[in-house]
Amino acid sequence: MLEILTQSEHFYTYVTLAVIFLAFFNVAEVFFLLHNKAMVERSELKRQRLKRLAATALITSTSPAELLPKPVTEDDFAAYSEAIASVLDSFEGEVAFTATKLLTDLGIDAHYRRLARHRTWYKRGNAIDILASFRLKANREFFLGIFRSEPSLDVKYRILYGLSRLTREHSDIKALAHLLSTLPYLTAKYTEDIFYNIITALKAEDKENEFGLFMDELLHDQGVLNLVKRDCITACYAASCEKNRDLLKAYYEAYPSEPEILIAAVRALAKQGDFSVMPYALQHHDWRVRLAALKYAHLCCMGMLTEIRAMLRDPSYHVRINAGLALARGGGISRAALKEEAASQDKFAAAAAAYALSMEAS
Amino acid sequence: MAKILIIDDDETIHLICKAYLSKSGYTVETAFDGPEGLELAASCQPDLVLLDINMPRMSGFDVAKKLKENEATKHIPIVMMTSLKQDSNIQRGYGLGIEDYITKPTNMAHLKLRIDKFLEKKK
Amino acid sequence: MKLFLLWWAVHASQYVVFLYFLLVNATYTLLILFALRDILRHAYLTTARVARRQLASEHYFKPVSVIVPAHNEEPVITQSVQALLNLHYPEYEVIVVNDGSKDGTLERLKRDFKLVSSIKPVRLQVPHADILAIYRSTEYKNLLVIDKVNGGKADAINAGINVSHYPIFCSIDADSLLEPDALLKSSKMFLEDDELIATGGIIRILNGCKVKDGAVMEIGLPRRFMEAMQVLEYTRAFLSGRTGWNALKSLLIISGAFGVFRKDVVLAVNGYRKTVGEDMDLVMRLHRHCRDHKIPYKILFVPDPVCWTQAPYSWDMLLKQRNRWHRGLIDALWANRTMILNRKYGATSLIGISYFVFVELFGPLIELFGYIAVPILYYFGMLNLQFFVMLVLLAVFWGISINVGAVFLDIYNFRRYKKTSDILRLCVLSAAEFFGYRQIMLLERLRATVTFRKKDWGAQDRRTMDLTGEGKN
Repeated sequence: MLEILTQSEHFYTYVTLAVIFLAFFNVAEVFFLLHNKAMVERSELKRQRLKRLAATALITSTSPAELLPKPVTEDDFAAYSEAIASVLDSFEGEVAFTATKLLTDLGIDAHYRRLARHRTWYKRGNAIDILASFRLKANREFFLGIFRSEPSLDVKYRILYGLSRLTREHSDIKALAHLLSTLPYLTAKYTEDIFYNIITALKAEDKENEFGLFMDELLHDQGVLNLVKRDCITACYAASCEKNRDLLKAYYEAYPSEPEILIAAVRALAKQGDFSVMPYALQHHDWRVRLAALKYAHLCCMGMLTEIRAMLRDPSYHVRINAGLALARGGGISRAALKEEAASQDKFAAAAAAYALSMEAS
Repeated sequence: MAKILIIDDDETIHLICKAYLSKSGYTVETAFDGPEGLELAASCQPDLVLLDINMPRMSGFDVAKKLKENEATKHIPIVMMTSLKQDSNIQRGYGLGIEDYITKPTNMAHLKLRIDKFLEKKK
Repeated sequence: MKLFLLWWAVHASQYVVFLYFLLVNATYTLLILFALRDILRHAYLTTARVARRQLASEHYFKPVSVIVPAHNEEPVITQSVQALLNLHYPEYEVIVVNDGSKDGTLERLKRDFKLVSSIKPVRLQVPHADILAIYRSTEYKNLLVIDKVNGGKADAINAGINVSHYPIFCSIDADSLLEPDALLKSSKMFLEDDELIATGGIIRILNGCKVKDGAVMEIGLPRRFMEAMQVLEYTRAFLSGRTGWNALKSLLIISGAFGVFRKDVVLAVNGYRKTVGEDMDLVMRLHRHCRDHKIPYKILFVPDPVCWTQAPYSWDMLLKQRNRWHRGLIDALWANRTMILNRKYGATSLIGISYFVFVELFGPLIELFGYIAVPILYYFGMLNLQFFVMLVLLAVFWGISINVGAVFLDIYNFRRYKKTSDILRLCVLSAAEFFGYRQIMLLERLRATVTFRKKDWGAQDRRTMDLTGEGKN
């Protein structure tokens, strides 16, 4: 039966054609490869040149749009937007103002707004990333508008990221938090990034209390996911917002069974030197909360010597080790207690104690 | 004629700083990354180094550390440019021996004033 | 009757071999197309801007334990560990596991990093040979060295896992060179996706590159044929192979030279198994575990993080390596044979594992059959010469186009090899592979298949859980 296949005329014709085709294809592939490489290198050089031109024009002229060639290809736009975004990221004042003006003068902003409605999702995403880097207040409405009509989740998140760089008041932030909650929870890092941006932007304008107002409203807002609330707290920690101790304590009290929120609150408070919630955290039923508190125990809770000593027998390995370390850092009395434990019958406690003593030599 | 070395991976920053600071009478050298910056610092002995923290291959902290470890460059004052105003970053930088931080975005005029002050202090 | 069967078999072999070549090349072409799509998309979304943003958010991270199994690595160990201690990462620990080295590896470490004894309690969560001592560095707070009885790489990594502190660990070879931001790039993916349990980066060949201070300064194609040939193989395997499998959700190997895993899941599958192909075995068991327990999970390969490794530079070393790889493949597939052609495991089984079984595992046998059958058939005048020639040309040309395609992917997106002469050499090598190199590899893999059974693979000296150990947790 197989013979029939190989004896037929057509089969050989096809195979021969295939072979000839592949031979040509290979040669063409190699040429294409080299050609593509040359083209890519050339367009990179062009981009560099254009960026340089733009940067020089920005610094030497008050109306650089007149000196610069109008962008035509996608590469041109990319070059200009990179140069301008760099400037906006690093400088403020006159040069930033000129750069922003250049965006509208050369039609760059308009171009990316058009691109933000492209068919392909990653091109839309890319356009939105670039628009976000311009930090134009005028784009706020635009972002809100396309958010509603955007089908792809990935792009939606990018829109929110862009919005986060433009928020100015607590009502803005609240709107953002609600929008965020309508989407499936992406991951901590993403939402933390968003809130970090918001806080940084507010700090730059000396409006940190706006975030405080927002968090106050958020406390009992059921329309916002608890995980988002946790991320707000962590963003506070990262951005070092200073003025909201009471608020953080209120969060601690409001969510006794959400370990994530508790840990975030403990850390944020500790960073500001406020250890009032530590005693409660040390006794919490979730080991991660206990662990988070133990890391600061030597700074605040040496009065709880007995409790911490008991934690050397905690079921969790990490808690045991850190209890030992806390005692070792705590000073004379706690170290003495630790030495006693190092000789105890409980193998785990003894091991943790001995280790802690060796690590924290007085 | 004071000499300033800028180490930053973004060329736009080089150009703008160079243009602005040259107008004020400084000679500006630029380097794209850590290794290049270290070599340039050793060879041309600038009066001040402006160093960016966020660089892809070798972070600003590594560069600062190496500058301070090298006999040829350890006397050169370093000012780090950062968009992060984090305590841990700041502590780390001062721990390495840098002079000061500048947070981005920064006003060019202010930058120039601060550089002037540094170089005056040095004298 | 037997004669007839033999005759039939030999005759049919022509077609079997033909089908096999068709299958292999079609698969690789498909993989390259998928890879092309993914890489293009990746290029759009990972612009310099995004990368900068990434670097800027250094305060969001999960701490990582970097585990380095080391056996007789005295010449390179200090350099390697030093490079690891210089990584860009906010919080991580480096755990070097001295796996019963017979040379001065431990002494070098003790001296160069000022090690002192540590009595850190170790949780025996996964099995491994005895730990003799643990050391910590007085100079580098995040360096730990474990000295243990020799037990092989898998065993050593298990020891590292037991001593490690952090929720994510990265296993890396002692002679690999990680790019400074490789750890940041791969671990950030765990932050962005809670379902991710394992990821691997791309492995590139260090031969032919200039290295200074633990960083790659200049990239070039190595001069020698066999080393340059490996560059081509790795490019094909990683850029088109792994990216493609990724798209098909069938990633089965995360290279032992650089892999990042979530510790909890690895503990759930009882760590690494003591075998030669420990990397593939672990990933297969992770797939199996998650599917069996209906845990939503992802195992990804992303070409961003880069790890440089020294490729074998003598034929002897190369053949030994390929022999080991093939035996590892056989062992991993055999141990996880319930996953073969099992609907329960979805695409991973039906596509990924099937490929490995029918192409990688049986492939050498089929090819051998082809090579043997041809002269026999020719001798008996049964060889369809025209058909045979056409077959060979088809297979070779198709194979060349795939190789060149892989080179193209690399150049288009990563632009590592910049010199035109290097690129042209790669293209020439794409053709040269079929005239000798491939056949030599084939023979070695056959040898591995045949000698696999002969190796003593049965009872390993596995350490049972010590009843007085840290079993509480």
